[in-house]
Amino acid sequence: MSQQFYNKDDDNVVDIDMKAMRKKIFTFGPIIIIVLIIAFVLLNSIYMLENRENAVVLRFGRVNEVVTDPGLHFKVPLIDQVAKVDVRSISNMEYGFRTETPGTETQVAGYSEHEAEARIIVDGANNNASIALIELIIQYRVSNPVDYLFKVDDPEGTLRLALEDVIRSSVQSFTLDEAKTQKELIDASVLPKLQQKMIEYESGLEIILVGTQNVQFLENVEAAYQQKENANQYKNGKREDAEKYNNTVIPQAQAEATKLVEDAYAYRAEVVAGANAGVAEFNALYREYINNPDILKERYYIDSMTAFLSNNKIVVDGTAEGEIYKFYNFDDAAIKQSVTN
Amino acid sequence: MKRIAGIVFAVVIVLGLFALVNSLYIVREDEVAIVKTFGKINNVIIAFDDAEDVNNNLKRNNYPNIRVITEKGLHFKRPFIDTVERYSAKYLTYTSNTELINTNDERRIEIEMYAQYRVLDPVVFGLAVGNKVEANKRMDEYVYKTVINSANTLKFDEFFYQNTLSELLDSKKDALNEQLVAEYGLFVTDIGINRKNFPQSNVSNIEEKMAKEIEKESEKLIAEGDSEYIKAQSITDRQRAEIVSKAVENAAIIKADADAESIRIYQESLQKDLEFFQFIKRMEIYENIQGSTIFLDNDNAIFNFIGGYPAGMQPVVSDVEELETIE
Repeated sequence: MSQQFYNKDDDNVVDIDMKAMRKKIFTFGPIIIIVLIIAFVLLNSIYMLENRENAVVLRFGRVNEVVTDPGLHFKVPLIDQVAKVDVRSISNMEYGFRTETPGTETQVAGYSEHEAEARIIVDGANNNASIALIELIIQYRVSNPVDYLFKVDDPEGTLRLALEDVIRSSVQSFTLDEAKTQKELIDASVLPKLQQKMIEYESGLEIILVGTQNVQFLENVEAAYQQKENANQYKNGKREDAEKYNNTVIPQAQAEATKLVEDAYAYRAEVVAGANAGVAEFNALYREYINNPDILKERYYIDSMTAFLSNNKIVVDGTAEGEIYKFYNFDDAAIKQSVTN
Repeated sequence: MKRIAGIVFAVVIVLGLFALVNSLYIVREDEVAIVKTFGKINNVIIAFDDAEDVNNNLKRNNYPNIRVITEKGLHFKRPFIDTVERYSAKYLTYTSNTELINTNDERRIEIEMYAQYRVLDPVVFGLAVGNKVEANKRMDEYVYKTVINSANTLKFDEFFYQNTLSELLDSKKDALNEQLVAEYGLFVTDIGINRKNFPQSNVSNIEEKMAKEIEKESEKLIAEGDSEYIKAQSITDRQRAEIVSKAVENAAIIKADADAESIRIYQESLQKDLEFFQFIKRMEIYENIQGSTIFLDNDNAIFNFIGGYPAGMQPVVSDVEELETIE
């Protein structure tokens, strides 16, 4: 009961307010609408442009001008449309893989492979078709905003198709080794061709960088290739071994040679000095001999015979025919010496 | 009365505005358009650069009365009577399914191709094709055929030469475009093959072949390494032998010189009295003989006085050479 009563009361209050409102709307309504329209037109006649943006101004759908200065600009309200294009920011496109979750401070980036895209034919031109898996990125940005907006239906999609075409038609004429070890060759071959295609297509895109990240082979081939790397290292190792051998043997030989020659010089010095000494000794002796030949000779003879007799075992042969050998008992050592000599 | 007049006025204003709006149309930068009057095409709006091609195409297709407008933007038409049809003027991309092709030497390659094309003549396009889906079907028929025919004439390696395929496609593109423009109002700017792969069934064979090929290269590298080592080693050995032999030779020469020198030195003074020298040297030899058993005849000169010393007797030394020694 009380609820109903209060409701009735409320209705009355609202009715009174509505009447007041209507009066206000009739007096202030048109003014508010006009103010709103003016505000809309004013707002619609200015636009802001950031440093990295260019604006393409369309008048009735036609390109009227391209504005490159950043800041505040005016346009004809309602008639001019402004399309802003970022011409500074660099975009990446990945080939053969995709970044699924970008790396952050706490998380390592996650990638997924796109094998059908990555798998390319190498060395086809030599009738030596081989397969490699390639992963690369390109960086590009918008260089011509009008072309970018109005010339190509799907600039990025077109870029991807052209990229795949250019990569494949570049790498197909490389050898396996070139593809594997000289990634910069791939980059240098892809970039100008891709840029050329983008110009032909009027895509308004500029290719800034082509960077081959990785060139791999199929599993078994990769294993064989690793072995080949090892074999290559073996070959280089052998080459180094040979050098090492040369480096040790030649100095040794030179040392040996020097020693031989120096020894010979030493021998010469000794022999010549010995000869000189002998001559000096002989000359001294000879002077003595000239003075007193017989005495010197006798003294010499006695000295040497004394030494001779005391240094050796002397057997005096008193037999007439000198046949004492037949009866003499030689010791074993003497016989041995005699036989071996 | 006053209220009815107000309503009529409002209706007229609204109709007038509607008619005004309906008599204007905008062709955007990336559009081409045709204007029809009760279904009959009167005007065509295209880019300035395409005017000549479109004019020629209209003549060829017997539409000489259609007016070609080469400015985009705001245009007028008769309200309610004229209708406008717009098509995209952008380059559209056609992509094919994966197709298996055979080269001239019977090798199979899986390819995917793409083409960049656009609506050149909206009149013919509007009549014969009408929308993007149909346009892609035409591409499927014409571009696909052109690529397949080109690939079939090439050998496998030619298919992969740097420019052979693209030049072949370029040469066929003009004929293709003539037909496409005339019949469908479409113009192809580029045909490319974005994907070339071996059929999956061939991959394991190729993998095996590649691995074998590389293994061969490994073996070759190892053999080369061994051979290089042996070569280098024998060169080193030869150099060593040369160095040492040369030194041996030099040493021998030096020693021989020394010997000659010493003989010369001896000669100079020994020539004074060779006999005395011989005596002295022999005495030295006897002195140096040690530890041997020597047989001496008892008539040896050394024993001359063993039986007593007769007066005036001289010792004899000439028999020394008759010594017999056993070392």
